[in-house]
Amino acid sequence: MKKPSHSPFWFLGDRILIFVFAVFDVVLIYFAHQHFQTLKTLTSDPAFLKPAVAEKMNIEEMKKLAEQKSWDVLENVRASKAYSYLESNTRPSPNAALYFYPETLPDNSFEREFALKELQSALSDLKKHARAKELSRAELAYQQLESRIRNYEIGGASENIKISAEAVTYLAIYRHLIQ
Amino acid sequence: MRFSLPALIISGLSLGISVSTGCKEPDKTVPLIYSVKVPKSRKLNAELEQLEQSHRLQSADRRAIEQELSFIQRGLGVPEGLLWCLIYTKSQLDHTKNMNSTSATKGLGQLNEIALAEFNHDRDFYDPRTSTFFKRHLRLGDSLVNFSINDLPTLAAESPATLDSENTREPSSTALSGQEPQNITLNRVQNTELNADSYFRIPVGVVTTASYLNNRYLQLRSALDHLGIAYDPVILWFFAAAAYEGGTRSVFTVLTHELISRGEKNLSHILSDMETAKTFLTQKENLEYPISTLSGPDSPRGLASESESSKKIQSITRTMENIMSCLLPEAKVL
Repeated sequence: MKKPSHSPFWFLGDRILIFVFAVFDVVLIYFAHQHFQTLKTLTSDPAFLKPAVAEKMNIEEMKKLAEQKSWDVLENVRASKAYSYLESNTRPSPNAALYFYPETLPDNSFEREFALKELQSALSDLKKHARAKELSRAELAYQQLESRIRNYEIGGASENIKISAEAVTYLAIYRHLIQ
Repeated sequence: MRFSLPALIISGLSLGISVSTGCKEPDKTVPLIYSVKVPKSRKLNAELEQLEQSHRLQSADRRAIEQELSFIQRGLGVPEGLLWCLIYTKSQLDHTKNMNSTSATKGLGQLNEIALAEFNHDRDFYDPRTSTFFKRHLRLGDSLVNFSINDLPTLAAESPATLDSENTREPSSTALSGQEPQNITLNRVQNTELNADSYFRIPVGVVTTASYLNNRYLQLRSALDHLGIAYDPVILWFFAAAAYEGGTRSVFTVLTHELISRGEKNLSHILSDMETAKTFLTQKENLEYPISTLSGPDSPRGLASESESSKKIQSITRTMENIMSCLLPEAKVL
């Protein structure tokens, strides 16, 4: 006959441990299930992701807004993201900064001049004509924007005609907006 | 003896000036880039002679090109010597190069459709004189520069070399690259047979190429002035030629890298000293890292593949080597 221990559940023996862990697992699964939606929302927030992934998501979000023709919303979203970069003292990748957040380019960047002078002026023309519903002029302004980007990135004597992924998305955004 | 004292004073002053400027030998590149009397090297002269003797380059075409260059230097300030070397490097003065081939780059300056779009959609953005120059000199008005070849059904039959894009491609300048001459396009298409707005027409080809180079120069100059970085306006033309070949962004990226890693003084030195600029633009090591940051394998959202980045670096350094060796005497070639 087994000698009784001091534990009130001595008759359960080692089975007590299995019982405790089983209860713990059930409780854990219950709470995880309860908060699954909250967790899902949290983990999809760009703030919780790696900077590169977050940046890509932000750009995709802008593209979706462009598909919905929300020019003003798009501009507000873009400006708020640029502001958050500046506020948190972080920088997007060079390509994203050039096309989407020119405000974040450092003062000593040679690209700043191109982004703020050449791209912005072409974009203002595009915006002006698109809002006035002058489609042929908007199309010309788009071609001007595209020409500046392509010449800037790859030059006029190159066989290679590929431009950066960000430039492609940027042009796609404004193509959607004038259609 | 009456003249000895003033002569002594003048000599003394000249000596003083020489000492204060570090007795620097005058840079021979400055007049060279503004002179059409190129090429200086014997090898290049021999190649030109060979091209003309074999009728692969017509003297009349060469004269027409050089006449245009001179006109452009006076009108737009683009150095004719540098432009001559750029055009020679790209096409060996063959205004019909790649006319019938599927190659993306064509004509004297081996420009692509993207470059022509700059003149067709954005002519005066960089230099407000461009439209006027196109109108007055080429009588083009608002016509769009294009790669049209008019109705030239006999072209392929007359010049089979034009169909062979591989043979007419790089290296363009054989004497400069040290390789055996290859087949080039036969210049049997008369300039007058081409459309007035065709890039293959010599005046249009030269003016468009010059304007494209001029635009790159003004783009670089504007950024340097904005940042307050000192540079030599003559040496900046070589950086403009690099931007012509590989895009202004490549040059901006390389300059930004120099500015951040070695400081403004070093960058100014590169942009002001001929020998340093020459070394800088012709050695791959100087361009590799900065350009790879835009397209390297570590960049998840890179521009393009690593091989495309290497190709770009190679094309810039090769073009710059050819231009430098065309402009500078053989003894000084790196």
